Parts: sequence; C-alpha cells; structure tokens
Amino acid sequence: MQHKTLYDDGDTQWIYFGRDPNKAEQVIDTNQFVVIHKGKAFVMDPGGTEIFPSVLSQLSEFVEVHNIEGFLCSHQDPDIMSSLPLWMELAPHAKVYMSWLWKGFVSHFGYEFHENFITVKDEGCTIMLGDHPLQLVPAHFLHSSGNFHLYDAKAKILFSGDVGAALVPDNYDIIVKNFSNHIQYMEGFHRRWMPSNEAKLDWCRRVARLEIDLLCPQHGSIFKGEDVNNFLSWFETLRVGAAA
Amino acid sequence: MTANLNSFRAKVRQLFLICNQLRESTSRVNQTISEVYQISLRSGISSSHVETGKRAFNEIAKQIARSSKVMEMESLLIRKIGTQISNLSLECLKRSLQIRKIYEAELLGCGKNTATVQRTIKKMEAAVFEHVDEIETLCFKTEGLSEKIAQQAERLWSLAINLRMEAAQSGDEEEIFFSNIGNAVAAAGEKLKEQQNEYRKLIRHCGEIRAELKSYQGEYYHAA
Repeated sequence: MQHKTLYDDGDTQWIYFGRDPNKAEQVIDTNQFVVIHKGKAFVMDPGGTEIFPSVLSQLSEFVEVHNIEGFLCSHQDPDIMSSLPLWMELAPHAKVYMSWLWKGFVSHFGYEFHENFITVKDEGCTIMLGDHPLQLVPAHFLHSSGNFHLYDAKAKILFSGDVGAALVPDNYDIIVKNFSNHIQYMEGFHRRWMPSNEAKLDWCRRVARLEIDLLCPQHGSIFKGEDVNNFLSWFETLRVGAAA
Repeated sequence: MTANLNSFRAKVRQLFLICNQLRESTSRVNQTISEVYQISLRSGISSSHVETGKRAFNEIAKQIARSSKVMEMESLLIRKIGTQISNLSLECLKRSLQIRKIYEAELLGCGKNTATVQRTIKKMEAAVFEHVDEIETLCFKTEGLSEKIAQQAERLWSLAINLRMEAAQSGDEEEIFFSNIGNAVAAAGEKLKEQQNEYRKLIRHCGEIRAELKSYQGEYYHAA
C-alpha cells in the first residue's frame, strides 16, 4: 500500500494511504486518510476488512494505535468501515463518529464497541484532536442519507468521502494531474451514486465558503489547488441522480 | 500458536459446524417431544370418554402425558443450551477470522505497533479458548439432560406397549383407536432413542474437536 504525506507543519500531518498493489482485484480500491496532531491520530474511513492488514501495517510507520483518538465513518458502506471491529480491538478507547442515522446499522459490524460510538446530529459538529479542531461538514445524500465530510481549516484540507470519487486504472496518479482527462473516471460514478441535485447544490454552497487546498475523496485521486475549484464547478453543473 | 493459525482456524470452523449440528439435533429432539405431547393430549382426551370399566386407558394416558411433559421441559432446556453452544462457536469463528486479519498485518510488519498487535492476538486467542471452555461446560450439562430424555423415551416405549395390550383386550372401536395411539407413541419413543444416540455421537465428536483445539492452547502458552 502506498502512502503520501499531504500536509506537515511540524505539529499536524495529513497522510494518505491507498493504491494497495496486494489488494484482491475484486475489492474496490479505497483511500484512507489520517490526521496526526502532536502524536494523536484521527482516521477517516478506516476501510474494509480485506485491506485492514495493509492499512494497519502502513499506519504503524506513523502512529501507535493506542494514540488513535477517533475514527470517522463518513457513512455506512462496508468499504468505509467494515474493519472497524478490528481497529477497536487495537484501539479500544477510540471514539467512532458517525451520523445518528447509522448507529443501529453499524452495530451489525459488532455491537461490543457501541459505547465508543459518537452519533453526530445532521448539522455536524467540531471534533477536537487535542487542541486541533476538525469540522464535520454535512454531506447528506452524497451519497448516503446520513453522510459527513471532514474539514481541517488549518491544513485547508477537505476529506470529501464519495464526492470526487473516481474509479481509476491501476498505477494512476494519486494527485489529479489533468482534470479534463480525469472526468471520464468520475462522471459515471457521480451520476449513478449521487441521488439528489438539491443535496448536491446545497453541499456546493456550503463547501464554497471553505478555503480548500486539497480535496480528498475516498476513491480515486486527490484534487489540489486550482483543480479543487475545477471539480466544484464541474460537480455543480453535473446532473446527478439521473441514471434511472 | 500463530504459526499454526491455519489449522487452528480449520479446527474452529469444525467446531462451529459440529455445534450447529448439535443445535439442529436439539431442535429435532424438541420437535419429536412436541409430537409426543400432542399425542398424549389426544389420548388423554379420548381416554376420559371410555367406560368406567376401562379406565386403565386413562391411567396410561396420564402417565404418557406426565412423561412427555417432563421431556418437553428438558427438551426446551436442551434446545436453549444448543443455541448457546452454537452462538459461542460462532463467536469463536468470528474471533479466529479477526485473528487472521491482525496476524496478516503482523506479517506485513507493524513497526511500533508490533507489541500491541501481538498482545491483541493473545487476548483474542484467550477469548476463543474461554468460549471453548464455556462450550465444554454446556455440553456436559446437555449430556445429563440427554440421558434423562433417553430414560423417558424408554419409559414412553413401555407405556406404549401397555396401551396396545389394553387396547387389544377392549372393544373393537377402542382397540383400533388406542392401538394407533400406542403405535404412534412407540414410534416417537423409537425416534427419540435414535435421536439421542445421534446427539451423543455429536457430543463425543464435539469433545474430540475441543480437545484438539485445546492442544493449540497448550502449545501457545508453552511458547509464551
């Protein structure tokens, strides 16, 4: 599994994990992101059971698991967090943030750790990783009915879950290099998976107020600099929920 | 022990399968006993309508009803325990799969988390063996119950013979009716005896697998 440091100011690091060459081809490739602040870590969408060994192995280069303070489950899909029971065995004190909608459903992955679950109201909230604020941004119906993204105002990074996701070929760039060319890998995905134009426009308005240097989706490649705006403009005008 | 992780997992899978068969077996026993209970109700109602001089039917019917009631309570308990055994074995299976995934991470290299990973694996292995011990205790418990059910089945079979003998000495209509009931009770009694034999075999098999699994535990602790 590859990893890349996306941001590092000495106190805070954002690290990407993905493009696992050892992953079974039947398993969709996923991106995992970790923010580490003064030794404490927060993991976004820790991934499925199948890739857990690779993620844990790679993550171990950066952080001790008992320093993981929290996990975000942006939504309920198995590629997002079916590995959660495994992580909770290793980091039993970590909190698990998820939409209030999904608590009972996520418990099906293992209810032993339900006391660690922090259910987030629809309007989102701010999580403190030590003295470092992380904002949970509502992204409901993009694509899940209870969905959150995570924004780090200091690093100017938005973890955007399935928004911006792309089904890219093997060995594809981790950072988008040619936006026009990249559209082919994400257009079908967004048309099919994003069910609501209204929710999409609402999210675009909300995100337009944020200062974003990197937009990090859970599949595909990361948008950087001008390509963040390219993506937001493209997404705003894309007619979604039209696959049927 | 982790060196033998694959055979450990295979053994846990075997335990899971056999525990499920145990649970199914307890459900079958319960089903047969329910049938006997229904028959005993029928014979009880019918015997209350026969002439005063033929009240032997009534007495036998009462005894069948008593036996089947006792068996029903025991079979409910055995079925409940069967479900507990099955659930515990499922937990073992789940744990063994989780251990495999964490172990795979260890093989890839866990750097600063190696000690935590190893400690977690040991903790999860200990949980598996704890469940195996619980399964053992519950199996012992069901063995006693199964023995009681087998004794009741024997008794039921004797009562069925008595019922048929009484029926043969009574009037035509009653002979046919109570002979049929006697035959049904005898058949159910036979079925129960077979089911108990099958159950005892499963318990023995389960015990063998548990013993094999426990040898991994010994290996593990020895290595530690």
